[in-house]
Amino acid sequence: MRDEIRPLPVLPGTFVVMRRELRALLQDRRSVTMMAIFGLLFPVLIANGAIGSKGKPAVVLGILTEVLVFPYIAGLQSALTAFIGEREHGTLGPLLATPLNNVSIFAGKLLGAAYVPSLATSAVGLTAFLLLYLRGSASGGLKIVPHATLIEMIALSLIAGFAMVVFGLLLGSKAKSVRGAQAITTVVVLPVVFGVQLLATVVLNHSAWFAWGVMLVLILAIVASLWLSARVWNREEALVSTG
Amino acid sequence: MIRLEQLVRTFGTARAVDGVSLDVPDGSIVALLGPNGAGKTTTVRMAAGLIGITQGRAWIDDIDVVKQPAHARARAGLLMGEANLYDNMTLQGYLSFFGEAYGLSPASARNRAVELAREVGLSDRLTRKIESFSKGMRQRVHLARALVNDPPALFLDEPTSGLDVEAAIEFRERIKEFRHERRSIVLCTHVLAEAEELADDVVVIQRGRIVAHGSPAELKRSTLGERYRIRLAKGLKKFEAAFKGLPVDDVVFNNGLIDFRTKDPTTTNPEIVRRLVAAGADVISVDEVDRTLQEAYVDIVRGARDAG
Repeated sequence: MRDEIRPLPVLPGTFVVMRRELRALLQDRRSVTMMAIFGLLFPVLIANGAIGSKGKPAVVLGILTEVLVFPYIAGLQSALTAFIGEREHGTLGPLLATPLNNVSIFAGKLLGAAYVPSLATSAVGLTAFLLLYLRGSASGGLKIVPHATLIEMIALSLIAGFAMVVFGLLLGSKAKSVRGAQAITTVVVLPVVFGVQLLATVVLNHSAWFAWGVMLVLILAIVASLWLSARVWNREEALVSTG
Repeated sequence: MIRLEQLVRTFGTARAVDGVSLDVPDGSIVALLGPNGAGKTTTVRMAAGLIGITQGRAWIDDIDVVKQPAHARARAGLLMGEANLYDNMTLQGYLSFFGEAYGLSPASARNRAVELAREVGLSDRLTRKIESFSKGMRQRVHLARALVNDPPALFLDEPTSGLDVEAAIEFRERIKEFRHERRSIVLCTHVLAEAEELADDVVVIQRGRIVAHGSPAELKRSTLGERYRIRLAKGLKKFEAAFKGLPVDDVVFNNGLIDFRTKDPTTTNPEIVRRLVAAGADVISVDEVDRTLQEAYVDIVRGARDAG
């Protein structure tokens, strides 16, 4: 048996941690409820509201972006529970004692607790929204919004969601409790939620280059934040915090 | 085999661990004792490859902890304090997850989980969620998790903390079995009776430095010397004069019993008896008083504190 024991490379290690996080998320009623609300209920309600706004592309796009971004709010809460909550409850120690690489633990938690479920919920939400919206406005549907703009806004919203999680995690990483971290991360959530609304209007009235420019800036900010978060969140820091 | 060589760890300007060296051969238990904040946990975390080593070197099973921390962690089992577990997982899921984290394939990890559950007496709980487990059972899960990689080196930090008497006894019996399995064990504890019962060697750490090192029997004899008790036939009179000028400490008179310490019993005790007899005392017996490790420990720690 001892011969089989070995430190896993980064990717398989990430996958092991990610799978556990996903399972933990699915077993947590609160998280599942939040995902269901953000992924299904909101899109349905919003789509019904959007039906009356056909002919107003900015409103439709604004609503669509919220459908895509909202699941990341739940994702951010899950990420805070996965990182700060585990530190708070003292369950992190055993995980850090394994030969898993820092990057595997960090990436596995981030993907499993936040990105994969948020992306899946966004996809469900988008599908539900499009189905309902198209059904409810059969005459015009989404044709009022140029296809290129639609794709740009979907991409932009998803990137903004990614950014919200990683910025929130970076800001909340020094908090002692999940509750404290949640309070701190409010300063990230609100600007992103309103920011994408604003962007929807701006993107409609400007060239595609503007949307792709914003995306590029966001991607660079995400990379920088991930790098910073991984540095802030390391084995030693996490262990010192657990006492 | 665990080997630590002049380990130093600093946090900012503070030296949490300052030149700790020790060897833990296969099949032996070394207890790390010391007050809170003495540097025990930091030493264990460095030795197990969890945190960096500022200076010095460490090996687990001949693997250099500084150069290959992940490989060192793969050879170590670590049980830290209270059993905080993933409550919403089943025992099988929990142990399998850690098996996979140590590099086992999913199938091997599942088999290992079954094996470990049997080993810690929780076979019938494999599919139950951990949240339903009692404290003793949780500690057994914690132990099973620490053994998931069948580690040649085990670091047990307060393993019986919070357990009831029966569960603690059971746990200590299990630790004794590890010795027969040829594992090297470092045990951090505040329960000195536990250290006395289990440890082959005891290391006392204070302010990051080793202030005493030896077998429990050696430590009990060291520092302030052995304690003796003289029993007199009549206990009313004190014989302070019999001890004047002799190398003795802590002389206590109590109803015909005189307790004292000396580092030189071979010459001091006969002289005391001669003086007592000359002063008219009827000496019934002179006995060596068995000191507990706790008494020795308190002496060592106070002595080290007084020495600055």
